Amino acid sequence: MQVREYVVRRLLKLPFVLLAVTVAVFALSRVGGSPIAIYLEHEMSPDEVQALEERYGVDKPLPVQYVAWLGGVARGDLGWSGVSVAPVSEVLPARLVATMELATLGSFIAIALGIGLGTYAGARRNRFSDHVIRVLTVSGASLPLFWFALMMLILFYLIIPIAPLGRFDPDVYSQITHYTGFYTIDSILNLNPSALVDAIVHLALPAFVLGFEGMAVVARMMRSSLVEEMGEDYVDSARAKGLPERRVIRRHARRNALIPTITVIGLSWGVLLQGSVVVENVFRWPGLGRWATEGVIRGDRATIMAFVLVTAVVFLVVNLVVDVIYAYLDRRVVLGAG
Amino acid sequence: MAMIRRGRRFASVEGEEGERRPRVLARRPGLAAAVLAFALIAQACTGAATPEEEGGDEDGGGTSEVKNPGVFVHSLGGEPETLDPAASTDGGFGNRAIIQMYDFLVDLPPDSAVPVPMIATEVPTQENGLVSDDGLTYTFPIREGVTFHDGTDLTADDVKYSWDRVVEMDLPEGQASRLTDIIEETRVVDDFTFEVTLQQPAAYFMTTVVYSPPAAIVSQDAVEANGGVVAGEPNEYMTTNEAGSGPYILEEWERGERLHFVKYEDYWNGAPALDARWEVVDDESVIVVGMQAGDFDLVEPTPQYVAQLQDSDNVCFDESGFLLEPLHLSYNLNIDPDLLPNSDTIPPDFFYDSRVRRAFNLAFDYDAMVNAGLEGFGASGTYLPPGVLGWSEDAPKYEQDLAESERLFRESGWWDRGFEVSVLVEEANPTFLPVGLILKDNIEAMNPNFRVNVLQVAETQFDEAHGQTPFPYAMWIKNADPFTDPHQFMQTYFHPDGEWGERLGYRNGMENPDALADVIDRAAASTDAEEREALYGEALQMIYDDPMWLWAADEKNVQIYQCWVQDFVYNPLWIMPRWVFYDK
Amino acid sequence: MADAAHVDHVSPLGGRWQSFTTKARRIGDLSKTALKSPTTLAGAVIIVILIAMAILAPLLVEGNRPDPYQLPRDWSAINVPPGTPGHPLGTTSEGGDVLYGVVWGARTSLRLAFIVVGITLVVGTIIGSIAGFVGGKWDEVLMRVVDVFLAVPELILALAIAALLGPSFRNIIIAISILGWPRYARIIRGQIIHTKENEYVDAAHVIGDSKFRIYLKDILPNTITPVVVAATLQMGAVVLFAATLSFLGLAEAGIAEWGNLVGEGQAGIVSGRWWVATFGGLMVFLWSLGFNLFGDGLRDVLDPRTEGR
Repeated sequence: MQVREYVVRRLLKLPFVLLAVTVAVFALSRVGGSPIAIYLEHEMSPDEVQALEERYGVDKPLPVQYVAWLGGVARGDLGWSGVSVAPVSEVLPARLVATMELATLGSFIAIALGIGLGTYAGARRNRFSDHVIRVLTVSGASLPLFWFALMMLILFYLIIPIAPLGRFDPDVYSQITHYTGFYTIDSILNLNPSALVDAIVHLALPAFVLGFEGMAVVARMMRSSLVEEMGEDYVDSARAKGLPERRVIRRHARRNALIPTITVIGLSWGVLLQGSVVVENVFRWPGLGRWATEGVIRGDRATIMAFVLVTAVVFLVVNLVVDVIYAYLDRRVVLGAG
Repeated sequence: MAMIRRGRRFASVEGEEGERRPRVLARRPGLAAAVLAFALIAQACTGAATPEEEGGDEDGGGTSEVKNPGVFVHSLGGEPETLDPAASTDGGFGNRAIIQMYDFLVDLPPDSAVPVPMIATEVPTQENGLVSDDGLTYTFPIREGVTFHDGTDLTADDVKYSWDRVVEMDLPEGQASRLTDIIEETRVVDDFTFEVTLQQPAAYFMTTVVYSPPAAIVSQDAVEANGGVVAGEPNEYMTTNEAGSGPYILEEWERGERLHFVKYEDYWNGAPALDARWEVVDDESVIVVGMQAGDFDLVEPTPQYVAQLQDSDNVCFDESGFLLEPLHLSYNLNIDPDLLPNSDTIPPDFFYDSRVRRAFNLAFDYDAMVNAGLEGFGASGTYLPPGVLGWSEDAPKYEQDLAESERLFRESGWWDRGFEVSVLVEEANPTFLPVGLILKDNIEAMNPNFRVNVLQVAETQFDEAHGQTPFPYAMWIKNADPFTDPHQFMQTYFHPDGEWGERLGYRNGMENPDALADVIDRAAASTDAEEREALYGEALQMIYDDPMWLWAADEKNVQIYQCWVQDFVYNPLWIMPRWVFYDK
Repeated sequence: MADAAHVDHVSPLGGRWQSFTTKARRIGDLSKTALKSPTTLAGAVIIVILIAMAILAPLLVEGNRPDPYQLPRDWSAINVPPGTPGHPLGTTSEGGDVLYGVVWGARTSLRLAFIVVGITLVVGTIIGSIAGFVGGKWDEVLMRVVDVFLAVPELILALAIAALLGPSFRNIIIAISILGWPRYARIIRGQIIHTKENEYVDAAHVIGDSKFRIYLKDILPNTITPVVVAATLQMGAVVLFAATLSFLGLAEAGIAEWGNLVGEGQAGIVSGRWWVATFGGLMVFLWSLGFNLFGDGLRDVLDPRTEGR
């Protein structure tokens, strides 16, 4: 089967892309300045600086450093995070989970709202409500996320203080056992309603802000593919059979329009991941993005490298899954894009 | 309660918009957002005036419900780089945690720079006979019955172990040199007597060495059980744990978020009133809103943000002191022309000429720096920070004098030739940047042939350049390391053979380096405070006449706390507010 | 260009141009159709106003000396609200004039957008054409490179690159230019493969046209439509993107750039100094909105099939 072949090919390709990403990330980390600059202080003598270089192995040739670093990565050793004052591997899981929790809810919001609005607009092409939704979604995509997040923060934290900052209330958070690290899931597993409420209260605003941008992307795609499907022959023939318009849209056009929209959902994960950098910073969400921004501002290479690497892996996996789903749904494309 | 008050404060906005808002929000998020954004802007336009108007019908601060009872919540801009006294860096956050968890031989009281007993039951002086006549040997009687957090007893052995450990590890990032520069030998006389011999008499030993993070007393048993001492290598256990006897025990460290401390119930001087929490907040707008919401008990924002809290009625201020970290700009007399940015047109000996340095100093608008750069929370500085021995209101200091500046530029020949020069500044710091921008604006406005480029770089890039000799730029901007004794300032920043004296090549252009060196050396060796003060006065005049720095401003040390914090006290020499003194 | 069709019969060069001009005329015609939609028209109006503002900036507000892309600072009037004499839109905490930032920010944005779109469009077209048309190993290798670039969300790579190059707006432009081309390469490659399958290309093969001629005459013109749409949208997107990086602190302070205004104004918002961040953010929003509305409308008319962003 061609689809199976395609999936296998995609899977085989993945390690090479990952390896190339590690080379790129390593190369990036050696651009401009000393890799151990974060440990340097002006009082240090050249001997002391040299001692530090030896401690971190940056006196060796670059390929040796790369292999050593890659070996470390393979063993789960991503170096020492100067930002967190701890091994990266120790800090990373909790940060990643926090970001995934935010991004997952954000993407639910984006997908649900996006498909809903896109369908509504597409079915009413060039009518007033289409224009309104179109302006809305285009506005959503045009809205600087950092600005929107800032405005929302002030509004719901300062002016109408209903949204707390951060990810949890420490008192509530410490009451439950953390099986998965996902606060919402853990609170359900603990059958602790107050923790669930706490989790949702903290998640709601940042996830909404994050999802808003993705919503625009999905809605625009959904609308345009629906518009396209509505022009297809099968829609006309369905109409000709006397099916009501709602049913034509729901049963036929929307279903087909969803197929291309799925690719955008994969892409919108990229939007969500980079959006989380901004949103986490504004809302003090203890995720990867905030951690990495601090790494960027302080020039902490281990942190930046780990961040880029992990983001790449997450993004690649999500897109792989999306592409595979897409391939099963729309075989025509597979033949073309091989 | 703060929440209730805030609700009332914005009651008018609720009345205008509140009816409509939820319905719109439910249907059309985008439209609602736009509506809310406009409502917000409308609110913001009038917002500044609202708190004062509403201030009248407050119930008064006393009735506010205390948030986080039993815990002192301190918001700080970062987290410790290490908790190990042997590895903590000058001016780093590690020091700020160490002083809460560890004890020292002597302490500084809230209101004075004169040391008082802590683990030592008496402060050695020549009067009480605990300092030898030659001023070299100090004897510390050790308090009995003090226990570490691990339950072991504190003895003179632990004190010697603690100090020797720092010296033996000698970590590049640590402050071992504080001890090695001055101490000849440490001895245990008996279980409760500890003796130190110095290399030469030093008036500053007590405040800059004995009360300093590397001199914190650690539990020998705890360290030996967890990796012991290895020369040149950090102890991983001590990096993230503590082994002290101080008033606070580290309970939990949530990386990048907060550190939880519990009070040490068996503290020799009585357990503190409150537990403590260190909230890591690097975003200052969060500090402001968190403070207004009562989530934090104490914050130390940069001046830009201080102004924003002035209208909040639940917030109290302590702005009596100054930071011991004057903002300054260096002149490099040790330039390698190959390292300078390509755009720079100055020759390596540009700053050899004292007239050029003075011309820069005279062009700078010090008032703008204080009023705009520090938003009023500062003062134009003499070359020693206020509060330090030798500082005087009457010491000479630079003021802007464009005519004199122009005269000096003409006299030195640069007025007609023109120049382009770059100044390096750490980008993220909101107080450093204005120094560069103001200098740029002042110099460039004088003469169209003058160009000053303000190069902004990330912290590590700055630190990397800052650590290089020769320094690869003609000028840089930073704040001084916080020193409690004038000798450290003088030695580090002004002595021609001190750290910066050597690295920036003072002797290449200073008119009389030996005279200044002599004054600073004599002041260091003297144990007579008045004599030292007079000598530092002399030194300040010499530094003014032949400046090696543009001393931009002293920054006020503003502590902002909830008014429910009782008896707030603060000594700038402490490094940071000490929770052991607070209750709420 | 009405006589382009005649030339076609005379010279092979004209033949190539004919395909382009036909295509271009079609885009022109369809743009007119698109502008009948009120949202697209609104987008076009916003774009025209902002570009006019960018071009006329020196006439609207006198340029700062020596560097017109830095806000002029008035240290004696920091944080003054809009309406203050001399500072109609207020000032920043460094006394930087907000109106100046708004007006010259348009110029900064236009410059940025042209540079980045220009570079990425050319590089992306070349690489996408090689991959799509030559195919085989070239395609395989180039697409793996594209995969690596697309394996990490743009902002995250840009953040890393700009951080390592050091904070300045120039480095932001470099970072975005490095990252922007793979998207065009993909569009063009996909379009070429799609077109290659069409029958008329097969017909050209049968007739015996040279490969390069087929590329120029039949294939490249067909890629114009999605590229024009993508470029229009990218004009808006890069400004938003650069503003985000500036906001995160990767541009030099005091630069007349909208994202930087929001970053500098962020601090003051809580104490009621709303103007710096508000005007800065509003301008980014308008710019981005204009190009998105117009690009969206264009796409809708030209080719509803093309995927967004």
